[in-house]
Amino acid sequence: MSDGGIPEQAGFERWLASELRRPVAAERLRVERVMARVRSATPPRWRVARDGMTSPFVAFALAASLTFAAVLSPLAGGPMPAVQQAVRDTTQLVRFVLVAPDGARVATNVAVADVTRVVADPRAGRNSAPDSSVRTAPDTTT
Amino acid sequence: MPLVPPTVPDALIVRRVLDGDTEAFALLVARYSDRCARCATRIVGNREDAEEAVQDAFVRAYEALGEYRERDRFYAWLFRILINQCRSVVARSARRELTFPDVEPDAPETFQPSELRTVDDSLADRDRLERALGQLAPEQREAVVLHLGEELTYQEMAAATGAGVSAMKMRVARGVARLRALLTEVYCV
Repeated sequence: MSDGGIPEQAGFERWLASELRRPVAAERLRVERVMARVRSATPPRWRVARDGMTSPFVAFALAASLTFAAVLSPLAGGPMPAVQQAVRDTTQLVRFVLVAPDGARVATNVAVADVTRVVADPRAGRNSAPDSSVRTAPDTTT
Repeated sequence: MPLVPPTVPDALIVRRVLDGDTEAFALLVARYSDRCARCATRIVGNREDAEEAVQDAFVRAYEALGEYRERDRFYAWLFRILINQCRSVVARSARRELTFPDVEPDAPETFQPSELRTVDDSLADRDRLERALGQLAPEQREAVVLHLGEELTYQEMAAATGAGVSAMKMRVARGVARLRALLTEVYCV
């Protein structure tokens, strides 16, 4: 433009663009001022929301460490007392004693009531031990 | 001012800020503040108000950073906020007379033959352009500055201003024609 007044229409937009892209005076403290305001501002909503979140990697690591601790705890110090108590309450040791070691077969038509009677019968002899021995009916084995 | 490695994409810096590195936002401020200041000065008309608009725009951009989508160019998204701040500043000073930097409103216009024009004349040309910009309708001034000065696409301008693409094209065309007419008047008196 300075070279010859207003440029032709084709060049006018180019000249206008070059003039509009000229920088204005720089403000050296702008960045510091903006950042001071940013630091002192109340946390934006996205920051509050993200502070309550964990990344997938962190969540995985947390879950893995909890699982690891739960798995290793019985190995390190045995099961917890509550677990031991539950095992003692629900487990019953049963010993099966074979009364007729020479028997070739087992009767299958003995009623449950007969078995109960035989087990509870004090005349059953040595196998009615206090360790809850269970016997088959003697007259059904050979 | 922090160093701004030009190879670091804006989106990566935004992610760092969103992940809790507040200081990384200074990289974006350093990268775009001069450009924003240039745009705001052309639109608002004086450096003091433009500086206020620029700083407000960056603070608001930080507050709204969670809404930025990486598919958009960061500075186009930033200019959307800047335009709103410029409008707020203009509205606040609407009762004041709009004056433009380094321009004497009643300075006499002088015409010199082209062969006699010097570097001083180039500065005078710039002053006249600033004054001519001040005579445009605000929406035309925004459109010319954003398109020719800041190289925003019509789509980005439409998003920044809230107007349609065709309206943006019309404003640029009319703004350029008006500027040409105003500057021609100056040189042809």
